[in-house]
Formats: sequence, C-alpha cells, structure tokens
Amino acid sequence: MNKIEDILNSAKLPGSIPEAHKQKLKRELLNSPRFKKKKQLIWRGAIAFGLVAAMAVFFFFLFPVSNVEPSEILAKVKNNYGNIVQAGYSNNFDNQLLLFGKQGDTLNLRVEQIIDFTSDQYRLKVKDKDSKETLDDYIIKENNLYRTLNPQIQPVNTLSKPNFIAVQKLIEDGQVENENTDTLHLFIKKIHDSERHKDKSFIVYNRPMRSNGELPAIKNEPISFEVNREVDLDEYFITNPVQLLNEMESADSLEFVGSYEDEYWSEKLQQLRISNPFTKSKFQSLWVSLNKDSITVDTNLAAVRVVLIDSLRLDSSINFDADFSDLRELKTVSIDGNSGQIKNVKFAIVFNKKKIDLSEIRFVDHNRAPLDNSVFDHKKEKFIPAGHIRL
Amino acid sequence: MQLPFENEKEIIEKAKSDPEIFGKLFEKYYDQIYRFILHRTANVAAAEELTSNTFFKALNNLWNFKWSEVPFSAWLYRIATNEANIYFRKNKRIDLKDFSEDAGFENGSLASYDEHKILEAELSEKRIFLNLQKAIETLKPKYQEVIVLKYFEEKSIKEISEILNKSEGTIKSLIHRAVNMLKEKIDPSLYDEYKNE
Repeated sequence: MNKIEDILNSAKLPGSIPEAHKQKLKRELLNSPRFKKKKQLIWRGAIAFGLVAAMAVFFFFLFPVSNVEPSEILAKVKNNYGNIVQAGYSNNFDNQLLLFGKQGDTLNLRVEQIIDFTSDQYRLKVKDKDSKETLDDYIIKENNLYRTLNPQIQPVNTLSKPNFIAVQKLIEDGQVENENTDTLHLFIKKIHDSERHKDKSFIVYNRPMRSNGELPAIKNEPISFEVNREVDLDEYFITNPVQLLNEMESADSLEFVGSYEDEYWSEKLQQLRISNPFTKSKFQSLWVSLNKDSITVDTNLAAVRVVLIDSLRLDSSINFDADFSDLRELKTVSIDGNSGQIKNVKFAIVFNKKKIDLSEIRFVDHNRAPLDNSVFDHKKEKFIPAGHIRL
Repeated sequence: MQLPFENEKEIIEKAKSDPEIFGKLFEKYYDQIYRFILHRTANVAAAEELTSNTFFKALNNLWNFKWSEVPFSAWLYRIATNEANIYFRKNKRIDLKDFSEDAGFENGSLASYDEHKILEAELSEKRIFLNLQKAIETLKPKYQEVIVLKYFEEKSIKEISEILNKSEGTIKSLIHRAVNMLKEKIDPSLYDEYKNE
C-alpha cells in the first residue's frame, strides 16, 4: 500500500453524531403529513366504524378530536419556495407600493405584504387562507417592528435574523401548535437602491409593430404572451412591475440545441438557447441538468440555480427518465386591453408536455393608486413595539 | 451489501405507511449517512442540513423505491451523493463559510447549538483529514465520491458500484485515477504531518 492510501485510511473522522439533530429530524420525519394522512384515514375510519356500531351522537364528540391533527401541517421546517399569491402596484412618481404575499402550500396561511420602497416601510399580514381572518399583523419602519395587540400566531426567533421571520400557529392559550413542524418562513427582501427608481413609465405593454408599420388593435380581453426566463424562485420575492416590464420587452423564447457531456460534473446537460423573437438573434445559452431530485439551470455556467422538484410537489407526477429537452419556464402576462394595465403574471415550468404552475402575481384593482401612508401608522391601529429589525 | 434486517424488503414496505417502522430505518441509517456527508463536505452544518434533505427525500420517494434494483442503503447513499453534489454545485462560487450561519437553528434548541459547536471543534482538530479533504474537494465529483466511499466509508467495490450505479470495473478504474490525481494535489507537508502524528 502506498503512502497516500495509508493517509486516506487513517484520516477518517471519529464516529461522533449530532444526537440533538438526529432526534429533532426523527421527530420531524415521523410527524410528516405523509404518515398523518394515513393515520387520519385510519382514525377517521375508526370513527366511522364507531359511529355505525355505536350511537350517532358520538359523532359530535369524536369529530373535533379528529381535527386535532391538522392536515395542513408542513412536513419540512423550511418552505423556501412558497408561492406569491397576490400583488399590487402603485406608482405616483413619488412612491412605489407593492403588495405581495407568500403562501406555504401545506399551511393554511397566506401572507400579504405592503411595502413602501421609498420610505422603507413594511406592513405584513398573515391571514387564514380560508376565513381571510388576520392572524398576525406587523408594521416595520425605521428599523422598528410593531405588532398587533392580538396576534393569533407565534413568531419564532423573529428578531435574530434581519431578513427573516418565522411564525408558528397558536391554537389556544398561547400554546404553539405542533412545535418544530408548523412553521412558515417569510422573507423580507430589500430592493437595491438602484432598482427602485428605474423608469416608471413602463406600465403599458409596448405592442410590437407589424411589418406594415401598423400597431395591432388592442383587444378587449387580456393579452397573454409567454416569456421564457431563467428559473429562479427566490427572484419572485423581489420581483416588481418595473422588472417585469423590462423582461417583457425582450419576450424571449427557448430553443433546444442539444445534449452536452459536462466533463467537470461528469453528467449530461441539455443545452437550450434563448432567442429573441424580435431580433431573431440568439444571445444566451442555458445549461440544464437533472438528476432524480432536482433540476439545475445554469445560465452560461456563470450562475447556478437549483430548483428542488419535491418543493414544487412534482415528485409523484414526474417520470424522471423523461426527455427534458422541452424544459421551459413560462411567464404569462395578462394585460387588460382597455386600460393597458397588467392584470396578472403567472409563472410555470413546462416539460415532458406537462405544465406545472409555480406562482402567480395578481395586480389588484387599485393599480397606480397613490400610496396611503396610514397603512404604516402604528398608532392608528394600536400596534405595540415588538423590537428592532434591520432591513 | 450487508442487510440491516433479515426481512428488510418487508420492513421497507411497512415503513411507507408506518412511522414507527420508518423510525427504525432512520435509526439504522442516520449515522452512516451523516458521516458520509460530513466526509464529503467537512462541514458540520452542511452535513446536518444535507442529511435532513436526504431523509426527507427518502421519505417522499419511498413509495417509488424498487427493491429489485438496489439495496435500500445504496439507494439512500445515492440520494445523499446527489445532495452533496448539489451542495458543491450551489456553493461553487459562494463562500462556504456563510452556510453554517443559516444552519437552521431557528427552531433548534440551545442543546443542539452547543452540540453543533462541539462537533465543529472536534472536526477542526482533525488536521490531516481537513488537509486531505481540501485536496479531495478539488477533484471532480465522480472522483470525490469514490475516494470517500472507499477510504472513509470503507465500502467494498461492489457496494460502491451499487451506490453509484456503475460497473465494478469502472469503480476500480475511478479509484485508481482518483488516488493518482490526489497524489498530485495534496500538500507534501501532509506526509510529514502524518509521519509525526
């Protein structure tokens, strides 16, 4: 045996194991909704049997018990890829207002944010997805955090991370429901100064002129068109209409070029090329690789983006041996033909002849409405100071 | 590959719906998977995070596990290998030091935080391993994988071929090339350090 092998054989690490992590992970795994669903079915079956066998009046006692185990509990502590569910935009040349929320697929919560980028003021509401009841409410301004007097959910380590809030639902008497699993993370991302004051005149879709020099007639229905773009779910949280419209200008489309054996990573990559339908020029390549658990999209090998398939709940519907040459991300922008205003933007991935919706930004009716500063008035709504937050 | 239970096939079928049985599989394999990932990454926080990912993916895809293709443990190692490769790919151009800052202590107890620090301190004392790992990390992932599995995890050629889904001949050749490449990469002072230890 040569020296290097001796060293290799002697260098292995001792067997110390992070027991606390192991036990925490085990609890999380065993509390997974995958098991809960089965358990619930068995439980409900038992209840049904009991009802038939015993007295119907038991139903009124047993049914609430079955609800103690909520089906919406999140399997993973981290849910980084929740969907944006609502957005609004205001532009009066002094203020920009964005409303958006992030929704955990398996949590019965939705989040709405109102952000004044000019003055760094944030309002953040967590609502029950079904009843629309506000469960928690924050105002963040001048690095101070204010919170509603009567929150229905419990923040977890809220103040230790500057761009991060985690919450847990309360059931009653301030008890946290199913600690460690039922957690929704909200991310507050600050838009860089240089992004805030980009050209704000971009609110109407610039219709491409026909070859005869005429503009196509505006239809009295939403105009939808598709824009292929780099897959980056994190980017959704900092998307604003100005950025969207900048992207719309190029209206890219992808072209499958072929397969490529990446020597460094020793794996097969699919090469896709973005072409500009207006200029017909091909200006950027995407390198897409996939393994059983993820799709990786690498733009010109300069920045790597990873999208975990199971985070998008695709695991049961994907044939991993499928041909991914048609992988595209679609952004569909709908514009009201009468007003010229954007109604919504939808993001989806299409491959293997399947379309999987990722998220949607919906522009609310008060598009371009002036900013109502009272939204951030913590005194008016009886908020109480809840600490400091660095944005 | 040595089977942990006599009737593992049956146990895995049950584990698909029974958390208690899945818990047994978890207890059996957690240590191996954690150590494998720690050997790949030399980063306690990353090893914990990727081990979590591995088991969540195993749980989510257990229904899809086909016993006839590979042993369960090889399947778990495959997931862990993928996780490690994704980690390296994601962090190819990012300072890895930042990783531990987001290691997920937001829901963890103080005990797990202390434990984490102890393990990190323990790791930092393993100078030969860390120096070696630095060199290993410069190799292509396919060479990293075989080195770690063969020398740190002490897997047989057959086991490695099952985990990596390559023929035994290919594995032997990969190991041979990996060791030769590693010789070129390691700091010569490591030999002295090894001699003096």
